[in-house]
Amino acid sequence: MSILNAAISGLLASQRSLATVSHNISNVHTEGYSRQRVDLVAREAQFRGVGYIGSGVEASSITRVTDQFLTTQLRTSTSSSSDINAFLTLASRVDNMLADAETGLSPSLQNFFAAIQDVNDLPSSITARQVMMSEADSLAARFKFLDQRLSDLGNEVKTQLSGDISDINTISKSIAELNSRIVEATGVASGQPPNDLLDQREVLILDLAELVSVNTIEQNDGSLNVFIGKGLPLVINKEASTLSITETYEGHYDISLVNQYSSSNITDSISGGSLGGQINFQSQMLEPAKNALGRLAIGLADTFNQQHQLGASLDGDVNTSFFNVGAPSVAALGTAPNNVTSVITDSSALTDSDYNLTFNGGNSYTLTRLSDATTTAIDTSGATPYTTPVIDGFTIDITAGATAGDQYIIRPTINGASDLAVLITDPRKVSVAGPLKGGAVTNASGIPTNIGNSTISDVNISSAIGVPLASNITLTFDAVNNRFDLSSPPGGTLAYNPATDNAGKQFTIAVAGNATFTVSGFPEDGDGFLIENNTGADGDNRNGLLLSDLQSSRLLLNGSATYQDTYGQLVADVGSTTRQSEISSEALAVLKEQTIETRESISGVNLDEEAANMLKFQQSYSAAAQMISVADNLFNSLINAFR
Amino acid sequence: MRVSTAYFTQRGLTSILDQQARLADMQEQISSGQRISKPSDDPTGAAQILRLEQALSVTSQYQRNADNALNRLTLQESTLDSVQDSLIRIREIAIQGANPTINNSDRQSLAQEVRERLNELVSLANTKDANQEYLFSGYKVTTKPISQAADGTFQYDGDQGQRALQISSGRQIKDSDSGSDVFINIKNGNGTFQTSANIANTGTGVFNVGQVVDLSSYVAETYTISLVTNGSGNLGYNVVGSTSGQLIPSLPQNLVTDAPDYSDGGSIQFNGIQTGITGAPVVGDSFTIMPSTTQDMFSSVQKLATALETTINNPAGHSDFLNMFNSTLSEMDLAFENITRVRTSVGARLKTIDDQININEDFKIEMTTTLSKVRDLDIAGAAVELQSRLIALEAAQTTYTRIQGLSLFDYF
Repeated sequence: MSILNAAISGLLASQRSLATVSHNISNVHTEGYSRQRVDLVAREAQFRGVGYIGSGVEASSITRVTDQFLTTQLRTSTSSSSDINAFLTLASRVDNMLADAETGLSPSLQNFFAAIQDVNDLPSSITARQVMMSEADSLAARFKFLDQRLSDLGNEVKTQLSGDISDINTISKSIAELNSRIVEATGVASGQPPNDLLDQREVLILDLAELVSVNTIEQNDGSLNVFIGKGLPLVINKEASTLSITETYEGHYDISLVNQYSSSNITDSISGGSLGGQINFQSQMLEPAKNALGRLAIGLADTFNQQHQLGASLDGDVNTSFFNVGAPSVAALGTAPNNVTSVITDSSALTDSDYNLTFNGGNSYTLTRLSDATTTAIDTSGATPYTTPVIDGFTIDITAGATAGDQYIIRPTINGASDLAVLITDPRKVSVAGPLKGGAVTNASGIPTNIGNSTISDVNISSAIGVPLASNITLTFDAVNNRFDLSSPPGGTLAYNPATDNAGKQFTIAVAGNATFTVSGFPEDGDGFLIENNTGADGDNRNGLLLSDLQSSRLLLNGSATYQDTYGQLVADVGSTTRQSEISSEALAVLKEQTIETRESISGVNLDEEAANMLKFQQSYSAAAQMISVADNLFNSLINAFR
Repeated sequence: MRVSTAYFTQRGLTSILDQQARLADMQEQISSGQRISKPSDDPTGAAQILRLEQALSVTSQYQRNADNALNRLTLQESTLDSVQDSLIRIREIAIQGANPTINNSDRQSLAQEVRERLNELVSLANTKDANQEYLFSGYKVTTKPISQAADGTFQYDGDQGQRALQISSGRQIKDSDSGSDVFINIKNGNGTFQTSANIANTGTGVFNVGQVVDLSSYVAETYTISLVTNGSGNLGYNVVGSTSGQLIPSLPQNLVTDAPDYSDGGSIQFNGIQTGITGAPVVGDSFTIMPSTTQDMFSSVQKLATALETTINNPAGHSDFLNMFNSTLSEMDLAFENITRVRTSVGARLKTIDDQININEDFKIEMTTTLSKVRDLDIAGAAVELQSRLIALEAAQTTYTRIQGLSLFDYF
């Protein structure tokens, strides 16, 4: 009987093996499938005097061919690769947007300044002024367009985050379910592994790794505890937590982890996977880029306005702002009262960061620059309203007390690009003329009356206070006292000694727009100069020249960069970050490929190998069947012997 | 090493897709001719391109400005040339008019021509450029600079402004000169002082315009030269300054008794001034020296016309005319010189602009070359690379189909 039993065991073992080969072949293209193998062991032999006689074969278990180390490595490289790819996909959009001549800022900036120079060439021309205003409109529109595109990307990030979070929630629930099925199946099979369930869970965890970085700890009962990001528990045994997304303040999204006990903001603990990539994109590229664009818009509008205010329009108006300058945005978080405002005071010192203001109780506030966590302590000394000193180009006004722990997000430049607009509607109001002019005193016919040989240079102002003049200022030379007597207002005298000052002496009249001018030569007693409002000066472009000079002046980033440089820096920053992530993405893709290749070389199905196995088990099956036939013959021989 | 069948298929496909992506990249580069299509292709290069493009755009604008300045200054130059032609003609007429042999009616017709020339000068001063801006009204380009009031006086309504244009990053050029500077602010007399003969003089003394020989001792005030009979009984002269007091004979000599003898054409010197009287003045005649005042070119010409129109009936009248003629001619010479000064300056500016246009053009070429180096694709290199990529793709495709065709199951 042992022959028959041994043969039957061989038949069964071959059958199981063939079934497993068949299973492997069927699953050759199943994602995450690990090839299975029947572990055959010889049955325990029986002692028969002469020795132990074998009693056949037995399939001890069916196991997956896997390597835990490779499985973990694959998850890690999948997370990293997916992280950088998500970042790269979004970053490339910004990258493409910024430098493209059709969508970038450079052409508009250049056209605007070219149009100013065209006005300088022909200041009396309404057409040239109109063109300049249209170019200014286009420039503002371009800023808005870029800003809008960045906001659209922000919305897209939100959509993707929501999608990923909903995927993560589905997956975590499935893993929890699988955990309970695996524990059950393992128990039912007295410890035999439920291979395909394990594979399924493996696939889900790999899917999860695509979304966020994953760590697992296997429990003795076969269940797997899953942690995401920096050790945040997502699945513990059969319990899954859920993630949710909240808009903490306008355009900024945070992720919370919710379980039956609590809900907490985990944005800073998220890493890896497409979720990590998107969050990185939001904080590392999108918000800085939007702020940098806003900072440029504010810097441009502010510095341009400052110069424009010192000029005179065709109608003689001064102190006119050309652009609207975007104001800082302050968001009170949670229940904090709206008692904080902010004002930009120095557009060149602005950074591209957002700031967090936290009330510590008493008179103490802490301002944190979010880009590098630099903190500034603020002590209101109990004063309300209290205005802080200038910090990074802006001040904060705190108008009333708050509850300790109240937080505010201050975003100085976020509105810069979207709020940039041309304030002037009438081309005559473009102020390219100098508001004051100086000249020799003339008679009623416009003929100069000075006797001596002296000149006054153009009069330039550096403030709009006291301009236009209420009355002309006459400088009359007093040869006895070597001085000019000023008419009143402002009155007073200016010392001028022709013998020593004839090469040119510069004077400033503070009350008249801080007007500076130079007198040179040899005036005679009674000679005079007149400083007057520059009326009817349709052809004057002195302020226009100063306006067009702004294009090449280093006015921004603490006086280190021109408008174009500032934009160039943004482009280069975005470009190099994108480039870096491109390189990382390629490197990580290779790493991931290699891990997959190694994992596949161990766990993957090779059809040729299965064909060989099939042949092998087919043969062993036939042989075992032949043994049954032999056992039958032996049995028949024995029976026939008694007939 | 084992290779899984699924991965085998996947890898074959991946390598084909990779090659295709690279080809698409190459295709984009070759069709645009540019090496950098987005900042990440070369972040430093992209920022450099932005800078170079701005430099090019700004330089092109400087060229436009320079062309504008060139046009305006050229127009100004040719206008001033016509003004000088007129002045030369007026001077010729004046000299004809000073000829004692011509009669009053001839002088009338000369005056007629001077008036016509004067109108011509006024219209030249009121020249507009192609943009309908007045050339010579300073900043007030839409205000007509020169007009003549009903009483014949000339009025300047422009201002003393002078517009500048930017023709390179560090260089502004004045593209106009105010009418005040060109036509109006001209000192009369000899530029420092003016001489005149008392209208009541009965002799035929003609006062020359004089000159300043020592600026440091020149004092701007009114001097009167009076002809007297001196202690020797001769025709003598003395000089009194309105604030300096008695100058010749110098104190403490007696003003009349010690007066030096008059000599025809002799030099008279005091306070840095050198002048002289010719002809035959008589006792009681006087001559005046006053600091120059500003005399516009048009009034000078008008004075000449008026002098020519005045009927001369006696020798004293002729010397009156000559005194007027001398000072007017001197004024016109000063006006002529003033315009020459402006033209010299315009010429220098035109030269500067020409030079700058060349420099800007060179700069543009240099920038374009650099830009091309940074941005443009090496087409030959790209073509070679394209070829090798195509071969790689074909190889990947061939390998894929060959290997996929092999299976042990084919042998059952």
